[in-house]
Amino acid sequence: MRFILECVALWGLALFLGLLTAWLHPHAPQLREPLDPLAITSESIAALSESYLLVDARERSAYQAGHPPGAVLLNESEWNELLGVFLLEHYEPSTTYIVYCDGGGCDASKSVAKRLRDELPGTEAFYLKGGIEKLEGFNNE
Amino acid sequence: MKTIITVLLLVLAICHAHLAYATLHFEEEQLSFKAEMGQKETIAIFPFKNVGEEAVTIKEVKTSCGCTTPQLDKKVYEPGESGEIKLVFDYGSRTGMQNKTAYVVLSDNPKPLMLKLTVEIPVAFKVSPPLLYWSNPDEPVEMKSELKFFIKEDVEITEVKCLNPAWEVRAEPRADEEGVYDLVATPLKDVSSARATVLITTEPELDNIRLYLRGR
Repeated sequence: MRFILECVALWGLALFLGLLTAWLHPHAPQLREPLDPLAITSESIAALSESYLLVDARERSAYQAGHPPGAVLLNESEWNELLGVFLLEHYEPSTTYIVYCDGGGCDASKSVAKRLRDELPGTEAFYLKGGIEKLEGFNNE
Repeated sequence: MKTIITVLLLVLAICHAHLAYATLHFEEEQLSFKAEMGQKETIAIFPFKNVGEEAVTIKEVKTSCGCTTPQLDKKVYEPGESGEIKLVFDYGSRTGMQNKTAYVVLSDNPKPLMLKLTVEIPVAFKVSPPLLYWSNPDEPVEMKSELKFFIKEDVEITEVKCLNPAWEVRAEPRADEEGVYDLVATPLKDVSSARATVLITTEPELDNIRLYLRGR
């Protein structure tokens, strides 16, 4: 009985100190990470009222191996070569662009979304949080 | 009292359990480079040493971008043995500040080690915006884009060639800004659904200076 009480006391002490640290720490991590304004989730895509286009920011080989229907290739490795086709065949000022790459640590989609916004002012471009895995079973057509 | 000490020792053991994993010590975990104009790639070398008491096996090196290729001489490193991981970053058409990450996955350590590579790639020129779009294509209004050169030497535009005769395009140097031109495009007829690529040639020669034109 005494053993259990001592364990509970230790657990309570640890919990108290932990909560105190979380409350007072100047750089305490947020429990829920705020969504980057440049990011979009797969749930939010379905709610978009305006038309959108999926942009594949992966390397050409990955795109050719398989991509969601309607997705257009635009990556930074071949930006100069691909930009012309993108602008002349697919770009519309009123369209929203959802850029994706491989999930996890991939940063290509963020770079492409940012570059589209920088080079074409007024363009609504977002990168998809979680990457291509979040698009499985998703039909863009 | 005995119980409290036992529990505290147990907690300490759990907290420091990660030290029991085999690990590699990197001299630098982050490297920064400034690329020269015209440079195509950066090779970053991260030297390391096995500081543990067991052999370490590098299972794989994952990178955050297909543009960065990891190179490793071998996978197993004995205690005290040194090695290096090479990251080859191919710029492609990238410009500006680039941050790339590599994750070194060890066979008996669940937490991958992280290596960071930062490269600043200079920009030779910028066409802003790269697309001129006529929302009312039946109105032949003139539209402009800015071409700015960032290289030190003087650049002369030798030719502006529009591949569609529906537009006339010319380059006008700005009187108040050196190295800056206005690319002025004028539709010569109704440009509904029309598209054009404008090729700009310079001396010295710079690749891929293009402007794109479109009518709705």
